[in-house]
Amino acid sequence: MSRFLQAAAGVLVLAAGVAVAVRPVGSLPPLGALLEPAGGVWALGRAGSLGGDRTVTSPAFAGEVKVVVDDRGVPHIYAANELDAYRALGFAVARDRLFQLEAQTRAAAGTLTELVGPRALTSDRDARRLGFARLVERTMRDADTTSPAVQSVKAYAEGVNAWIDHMRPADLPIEYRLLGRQPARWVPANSYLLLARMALTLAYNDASLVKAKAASRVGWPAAEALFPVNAPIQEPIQPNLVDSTRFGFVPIPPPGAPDTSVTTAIGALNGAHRTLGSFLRWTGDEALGSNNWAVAPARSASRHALLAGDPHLELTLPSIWYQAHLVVGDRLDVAGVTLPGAPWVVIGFNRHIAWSMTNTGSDVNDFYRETVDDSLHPARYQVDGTWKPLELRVEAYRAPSGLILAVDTLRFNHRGPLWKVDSTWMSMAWTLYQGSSNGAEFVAIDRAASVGEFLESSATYAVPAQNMIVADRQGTIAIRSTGRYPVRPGPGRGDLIQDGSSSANDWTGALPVEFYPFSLNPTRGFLSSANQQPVDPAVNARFMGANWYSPWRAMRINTLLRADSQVTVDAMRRFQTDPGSARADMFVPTLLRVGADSLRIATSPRAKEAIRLLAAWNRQYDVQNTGPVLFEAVMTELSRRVWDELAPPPGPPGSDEAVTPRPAEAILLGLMADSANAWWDDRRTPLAERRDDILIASLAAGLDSTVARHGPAGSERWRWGNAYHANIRHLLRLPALSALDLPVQSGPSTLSPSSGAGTSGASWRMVVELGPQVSAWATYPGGQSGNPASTHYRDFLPAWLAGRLDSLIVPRTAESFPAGRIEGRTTFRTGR
Amino acid sequence: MVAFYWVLVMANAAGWGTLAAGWIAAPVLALAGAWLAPKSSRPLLSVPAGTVLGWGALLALDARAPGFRALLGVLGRLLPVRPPVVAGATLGLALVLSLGAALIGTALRRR
Repeated sequence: MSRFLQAAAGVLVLAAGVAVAVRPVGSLPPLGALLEPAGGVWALGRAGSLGGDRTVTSPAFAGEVKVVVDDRGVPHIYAANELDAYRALGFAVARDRLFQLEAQTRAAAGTLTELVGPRALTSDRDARRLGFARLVERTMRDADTTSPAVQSVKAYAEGVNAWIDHMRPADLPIEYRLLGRQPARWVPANSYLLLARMALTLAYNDASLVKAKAASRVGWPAAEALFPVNAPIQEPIQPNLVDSTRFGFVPIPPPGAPDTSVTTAIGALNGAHRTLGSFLRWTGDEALGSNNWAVAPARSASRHALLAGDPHLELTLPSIWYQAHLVVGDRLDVAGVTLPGAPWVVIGFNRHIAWSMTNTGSDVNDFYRETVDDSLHPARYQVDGTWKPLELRVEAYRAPSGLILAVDTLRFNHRGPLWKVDSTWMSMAWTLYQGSSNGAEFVAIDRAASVGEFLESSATYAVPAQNMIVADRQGTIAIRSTGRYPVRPGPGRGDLIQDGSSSANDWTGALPVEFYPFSLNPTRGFLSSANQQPVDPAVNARFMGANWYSPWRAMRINTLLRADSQVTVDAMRRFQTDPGSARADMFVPTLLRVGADSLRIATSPRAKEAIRLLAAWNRQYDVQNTGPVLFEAVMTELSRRVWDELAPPPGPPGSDEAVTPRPAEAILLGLMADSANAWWDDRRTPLAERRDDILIASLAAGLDSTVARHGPAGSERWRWGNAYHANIRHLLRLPALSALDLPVQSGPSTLSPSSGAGTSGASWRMVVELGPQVSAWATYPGGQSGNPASTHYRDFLPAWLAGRLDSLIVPRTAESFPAGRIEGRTTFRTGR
Repeated sequence: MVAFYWVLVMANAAGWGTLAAGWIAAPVLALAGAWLAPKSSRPLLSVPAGTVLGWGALLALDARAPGFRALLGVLGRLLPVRPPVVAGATLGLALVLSLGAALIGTALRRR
């Protein structure tokens, strides 16, 4: 071969190699940096290890901090001062969850495009329209920089950045490698962006828009009854004097003439769904909820107070939670879960108390129709006949390269952000916009030494409102639905769209804490919450929200607790994954009764077979059971037939108009007693159906659809564990990094709820016994590490799936840590 | 024998060079290695073989980490190919980069 030809061949081969090394190949990043075996993706196997003893010297630390990582990957942080403890926590979280930290806060800030490119533009626009960045700017501007909360956030940021400075190329998380990016430095404001994002997940409520949309199809009287202010089944958080479920069904008016005056509301709902996109909390998926309960010493076998908590959120890998234990002398000794990105234990326990939270789901945001000076580019809005300036913000969306992808002009008035809906401008008032927490409550809660101190510490907590349950070693138990509740003018209802041109429609203040739903040491000996209406309106009719979750889980918890006067830790654990269903207990007998009563059942062998199968079902959702599959199919058919009047007119699939407002199932249960109600008529048929016709048709259709989907009755595919799965997706929705198709003992409205795509559920399960020494057991679906090569990426998952809890260790000192449970030790020292 | 020694020299160079400078070390050192190689070392074989051996040694070190098996599975699902193919692709990249550089290096040095 001539030299020239050889050199040319070499150039070609080298050029090909360099091309794949430096340029993306399809959806893959450049292979050079990705595959090289020293610092590329292969090094992640080493980065996943937490073992051994190390010393980290960093100017961020003021003194020595010892961190012991236990065999579950949980850091136990022993520091001489609080700020160093928060720094070490920031360092540990960044080591384990660096990509999650950045992705979550960028999602809230609307800057994801700078990390992942134009594919996130829609999501970023949604986030910026909500004004979180503006809100956090104000929070930081107004913050008292000397307050412990702000200091803790700053110290945490220093810890995160200390890790970024300390990390080797091998430690770069796989997501950054796949995206071809480097981590951004962490700023304290990110912690507050994270809290704002949680507020959206838990405190956004579009009940007013849903109700208006229903009115546009069946008129206001029917809409008011289908989406009532008060739940028809009362199992309130604040116990009633008579400790039992109260049923208060009211007749449902027949579907009326559509109310064409609410087209703006329809547009507003569509617009809100468009604007909030994937952030929307209310999807009808009740797996986004939570449980907690506490048992007084008088009803516990050990004669110590017991507390259980399991918040239900979107399930992701890595998890939404990060477990930690922080010890600072005798001033702080708290363990539990933190939100990656914030320095406080949000749910957990210390040496004196344990606490957990469920979402209150109160109505804390209202929509207003605004009068503006220009329908296309408004600069002013009218209030009481006076024009006031809108705050305009020009928002640029940038690619990772810095290139501007798009520019939006956002508008805000004194209530909140403005969105254009068709030809109307709507604003949204939200308690979050009145100032979010700077974290002071969590700083104090983590140190509280009694139920009284906890209640005092949390009194100023604002958003999202939470049913905070607490128990202490003295045997006191308490629950309070704590948060900022707006006081509205007039009747005080927040489930109607208001006229924004009058300041008389603005909120007039916030409910004082002494009016919050509350109970302390009730005579029945236990307390619980599961996102139900907090107070029975027969006791206090003050408006707190509308369209509440059906209280199936609350009914089931209370049934279990009422039946057990010697509650043990193990019973608390079992209850968290109890397969029983109050919903099935309510609906199945009615379905069976119809089967027994109706002569017409003889004409439908399929319905008769469905009834036979449901009668044999024990109404449990364990993985081996074959009954839930049929029951869920029948309920789907039933709901579709009954609420057909609420269905949208035909439109393209997936269009906004395809959204069907769906009443709570408690409403459907009430309708069961009214066999001739016009809602039973299926308008798609020429006949005038009554209840039994629809039930029989639903039973038959439910059986048909189940057989079509899962095979003949009783076959292996009917088993709940085969038919229904939990799906825990990676943050980037990469199947390779997700845990999919997991069989779970949970179903719609069981205590471990799971429904729809199976992407929501119990995100943390904890049981605490408050004896002379506080003992705790817990787990969550995932693991401490965000590195998929780490043994701690998903090592908690088997226990979570089986309903087991790990015994948590919380040694008081690093020196007293049991040697057999130490995975690694890191000592932080100040210096360069 | 000289070729064998040169393979070891290149393997060491590729290993340490990649640790120090990343993937770019492979073609740069291969170019230099081919330029400087003794005539009897058959540089068109020994330089790529040494580079692949160097990267293979680094991979072997990676494989000792407790998370390597999990990582292999994750990479296999991500790309998605059978896990050994990912390791093969890594060594293949080393081969292509070093072979191209060796072809150029040996062509130039005949002057």
